[in-house]
Amino acid sequence: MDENVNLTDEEILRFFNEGDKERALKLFINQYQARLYSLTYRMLGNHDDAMDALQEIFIQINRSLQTFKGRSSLYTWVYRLSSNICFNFRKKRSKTNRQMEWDEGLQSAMLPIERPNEDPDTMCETKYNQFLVQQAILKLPETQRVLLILHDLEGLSVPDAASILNINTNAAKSRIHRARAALRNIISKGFVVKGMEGVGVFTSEDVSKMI
Amino acid sequence: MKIESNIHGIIVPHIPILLAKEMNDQSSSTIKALRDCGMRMQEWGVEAVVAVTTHWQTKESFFIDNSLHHESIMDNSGVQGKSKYSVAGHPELANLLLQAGEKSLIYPSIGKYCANHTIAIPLQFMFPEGNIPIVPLSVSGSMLCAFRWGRTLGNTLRSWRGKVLFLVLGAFSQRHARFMDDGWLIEHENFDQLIVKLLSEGKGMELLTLDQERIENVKPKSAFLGLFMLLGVMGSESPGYIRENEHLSYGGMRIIEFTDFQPSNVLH
Repeated sequence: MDENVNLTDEEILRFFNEGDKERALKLFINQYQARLYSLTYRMLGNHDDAMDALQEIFIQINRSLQTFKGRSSLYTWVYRLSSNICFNFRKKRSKTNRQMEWDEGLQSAMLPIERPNEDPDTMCETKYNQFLVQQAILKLPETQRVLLILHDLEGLSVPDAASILNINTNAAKSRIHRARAALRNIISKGFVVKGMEGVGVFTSEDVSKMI
Repeated sequence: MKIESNIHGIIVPHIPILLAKEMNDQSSSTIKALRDCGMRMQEWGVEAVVAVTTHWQTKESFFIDNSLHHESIMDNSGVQGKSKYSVAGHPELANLLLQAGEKSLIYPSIGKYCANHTIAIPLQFMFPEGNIPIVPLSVSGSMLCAFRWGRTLGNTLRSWRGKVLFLVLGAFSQRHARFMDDGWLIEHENFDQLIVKLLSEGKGMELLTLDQERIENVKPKSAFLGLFMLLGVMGSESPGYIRENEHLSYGGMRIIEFTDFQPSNVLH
C-alpha cells in the first residue's frame, strides 16, 4: 500500500466525518474504482457481474462508512467488505447454475492500457502466460483462490490479506502455500481453457515459464 | 417484427453521413440502413431515444439534457449546414436517469445541450418526422466510468419498461485531414474492421487490450466512451449485428445494432 493511499484515505474519512458525504464518496470512488473493479472481475470472471458487484460495493460503503471505527486501515476494511460482496454474488450465481469462467483473452480489465515497452513477441508471450495462470487459478477452491488473488495478483501483504478474510497471518501463509501447491498440481496435470477447447489440454510445459 | 427487449442499442456515424448528404449522395447504403432501422423502430413502437453524443464531452461528470424541446443547431465548422431537426425532449425519462445516477453514486448533472449535428443528421434519416422524443447524454470520465454509467442506465431503462433506442453517435477511427490529402488510410480501415469484428462477436470489452499507440493513431471518437456506455446498457457480451459496413473515400460508415433478438437481414 503506498503513501498516497493513506493520505487519500484520511481525506475521505475527514470529508465524510465533516458531513461532506458526496465529496468523500467521489474521492473514494476515484481512488478505489479501478482497483476494486480488478478485484471483482478476478473474483467473478465477467464484466457485467463485476460491474454490478462494484456498484453494490459503493452502495454498501455509502451505507456503512459511518460504522468504520478505524481498527484496521480503510483499505483493509474496504477489501474485506468487497470480498464478502463477491462471495455473495458467487453464491447467488451458483444457485442459478451459471458458469463462472473468465472471459478469454482478457488479463487486466479496465486498467490503463500500457504502451509496449519491450519486444512485442515477448510482450505477447508474457500476456499469454498471465492469461493461462489466471485460467489455472480459476480451478482452485474458493478459499485458496481468493488468497492468491488478494496476495499474488492484487499485491496485498499477507497480514492485509489475512485481515480481510478474518484469519490469522499464519493461517493465511499456510493457505497461500497450499494454494500454490494446488496450482502447480493443476498445471502439472493439465487443464482445459473455456473457449479454447480446440487447443487441447494445457500442461506444465506450456506454463513452465509462468511461475 | 417481434422485439422482446424494451431496449435496443445502436452505434451510428454522423460526419460521413453529413458529407454524403451535402454531396447529394442520397442513395448511400448507409443512409438506407439508417432509414430501415428507423422504420423498424417505428414499427416496434419506440417511445424515446436516449442519444449519447460523443461531441458533448464533459469534464466533471456525466450530463443529461432534460429539456422539454431540443432545437437543432449546426455546429460542424467547415460544412454548410442545411440540416434542421427540432424534436421534443423527454424530461420525465431524463429525470429518472438523473435520479438513478444519484442513487448509484455517479452524480450526473443536468445540462442544456440541444440537438447538434451529431444527433440531428442520423435522426433525420431514422425518424424524419421528428416524432420520437430524445434525451441527450454527454460522455465523460474513463472507459470504466462509462461502462459503470451504462450499467446503471441499462438497469433503469429496463425497469422503466418503455421502448427505448439507446443511440451512440460516433465513428470508430477518424482522421480529419482525410478529406484533403490521401484519403482513408489502410490503418484506419483495418482498425475499423477489427472493431466491427469484436463487436459482432460479443467481444467488445477486448478493446481494452488493444495497443494504446494504435488507438492514439486512429483517434476513435471520444476514445470509445460512448461505446462503453452502450456495452454497459446492452450487456458486455451482447453481439452486435452489422447493419452497414461501408467504406467510402472520405470515411468508414459502420452501423452496429444491439438487440436481444436475431434479425434476419444482417450482413453476417
